[in-house]
Amino acid sequence: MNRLKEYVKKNQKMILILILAFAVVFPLLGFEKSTIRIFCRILMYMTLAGSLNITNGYSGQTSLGHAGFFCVGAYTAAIITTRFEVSFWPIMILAGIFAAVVGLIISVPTIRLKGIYLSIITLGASEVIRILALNWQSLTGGSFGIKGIPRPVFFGFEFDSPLKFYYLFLGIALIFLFVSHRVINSRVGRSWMSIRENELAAKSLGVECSAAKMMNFAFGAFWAGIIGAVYAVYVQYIDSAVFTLDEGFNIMSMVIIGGQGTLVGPLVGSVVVNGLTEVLRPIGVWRFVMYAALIIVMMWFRPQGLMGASNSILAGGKVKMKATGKAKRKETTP
Amino acid sequence: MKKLTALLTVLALLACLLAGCAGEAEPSETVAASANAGETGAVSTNKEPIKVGVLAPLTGTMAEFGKTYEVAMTMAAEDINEAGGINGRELVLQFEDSKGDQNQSAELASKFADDDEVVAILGDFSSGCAMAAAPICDEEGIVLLSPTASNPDFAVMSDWAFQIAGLASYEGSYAATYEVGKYAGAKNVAIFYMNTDFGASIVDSFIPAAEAAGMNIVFCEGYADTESDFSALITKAKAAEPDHVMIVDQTSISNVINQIRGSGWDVPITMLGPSTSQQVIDLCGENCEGILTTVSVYYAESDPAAYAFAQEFAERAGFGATVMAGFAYDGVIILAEAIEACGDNITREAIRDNLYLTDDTYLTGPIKFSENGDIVRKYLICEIVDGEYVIRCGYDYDAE
Repeated sequence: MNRLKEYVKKNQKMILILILAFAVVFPLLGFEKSTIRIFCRILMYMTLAGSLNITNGYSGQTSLGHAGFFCVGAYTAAIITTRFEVSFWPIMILAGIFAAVVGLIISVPTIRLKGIYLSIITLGASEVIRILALNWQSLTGGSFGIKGIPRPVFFGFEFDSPLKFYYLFLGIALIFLFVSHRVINSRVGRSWMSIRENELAAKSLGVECSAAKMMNFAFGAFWAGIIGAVYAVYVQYIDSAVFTLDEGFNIMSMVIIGGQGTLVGPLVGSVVVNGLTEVLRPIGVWRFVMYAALIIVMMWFRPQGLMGASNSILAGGKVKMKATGKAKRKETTP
Repeated sequence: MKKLTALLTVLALLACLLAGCAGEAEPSETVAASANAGETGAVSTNKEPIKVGVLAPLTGTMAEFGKTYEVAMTMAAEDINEAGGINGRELVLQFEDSKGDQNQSAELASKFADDDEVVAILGDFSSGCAMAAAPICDEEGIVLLSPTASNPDFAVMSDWAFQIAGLASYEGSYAATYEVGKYAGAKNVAIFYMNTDFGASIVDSFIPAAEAAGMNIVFCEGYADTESDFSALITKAKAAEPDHVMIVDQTSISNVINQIRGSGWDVPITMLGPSTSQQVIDLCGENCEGILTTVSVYYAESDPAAYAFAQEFAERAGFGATVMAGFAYDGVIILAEAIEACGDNITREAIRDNLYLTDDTYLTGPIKFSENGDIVRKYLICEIVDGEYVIRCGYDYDAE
């Protein structure tokens, strides 16, 4: 196991390139369109779960309202592209910015709230956004939703098949991973992680906790908004029923199962959860029981998730407890 | 540690939620087994069977409707196969569980479209899911016939999309002009509606029709489909002093009725949505006496074929036949006829073209598609008297 880790560390670049090449070539191996759609879904949730991981995994603020940001992004793109003849790409960025602004507003309470209280705020906000989408009929089409959302065109190249969307989702996932990697390894990212580990200590070291947390929420929401916009043009029909709390929990289950506090975690989570949905289809309703069991087992044995950050507080304090335990034993032995 | 506790709590909640969904949906499993048994029934030919895909919410919050689909459609397929199948070939329905989730519905539609053996798709149950699947069926060129979608925006989305439930928009204006206006003679109407695509499209067509018929809408408010306490709305509506209350709802209508009567308000009520649901009578008892409703299909004893269908459906499903059951049954029948009309050369395109030619009377009444692929249904007006639905006005009441 350790050797494998060392090997991975040494040849990191080569492995990344191999994985990337695989992801690019893989869908060309003659899959049915419906199978490509499943890959699209997996890639979409990679970014979506990844963006939630920025909040939940890196800064340790348990947000349950990710479906809300996703909803803002999807509706922004749907409303603008169906009403005005504009290119999709700036709208996609705009959708991200809108979602980020909403994220910023929601993050205001995070300055004072923590833990379960913060979770409830985000949960409520997500529902408020969905109900707004359901009731603001003149803008969002209310319960009719928005249909006939036009496909995006890139210099005359129309995204009109699942395969083309696969590459779009892949591209966005890559950009997201690259940007997140840079941010996480910057001063900002480190301040997020310091807040996760111990907010008081972070403050004493000069981290502007409230600003950092707000930025964290906005950054996560921005990517949820971007992916929401792509989702809208991908499915071409959206209504508020998609963006329920169930969806929020669905995204969160990917983060939890895959692993929090690492960039790889949500990627693995998305593959596992979406893959399971397909694999377990024949057993019907028992699928849900399997999910629940999987999450419980995961929390029990590996609270940080499959590929989560083992060297953090997310691992249930196991790391620290061992150290202090030893220290105590030393003290007691004469 | 606090964060961990919080996370654990949330997870426990999530687990309960998922387990809850699973529990609710369980009964549909057994039907699946019997459905399969049914499919391999009567036709004994060496020819290949004809496969039709069905999108249905077999699990999840709409599982009851999924079961309606499964039972009614299986009955239809059995009837067809017993009568010799489609040009001697067996009709096989392949049920897939969309969970009432739009993404699942779209993906499964794509899966059916990829399968060359599947000649057409039936479903999905809800308009939202059907509308999510419609762009895919349009692109791939496969018929999507939803027996129950009532959103007037669905069939217009594509040449390949069909609906036979009758448009919610027409049902709304019929209820306004004939039921509340002509029959009940109301002047000031209060409307309660469930804010779903169904509720909203009924109300959108009800209000202009009511105003055209000289009625005033003194109160009109929607509520979310998850709400259960309507006392604030009722108090507000009462203050507007209507002489008639219209409730548009499919799920929590008995709750609204009970709370209106419970508050001591003795106003005439018309309901739209549950049609002639036995559940409303069971849950409301005395409270629903005198309530008016419209229904496009009524399984009366005077119509032996419809009555026999309702009896058998109730026996198989374990609950009474709703309008949805009849629609699901008819959906299979008209699709089978369209396939049969193709003769030996069955193509997805030919099925679509033949569907547009459908013009006959079926279990749920006459079906003839408009150029959009939707139909206008005729309605009966019923009243609840002594715990039973009694037909007050026939299909031709609008012509009288």
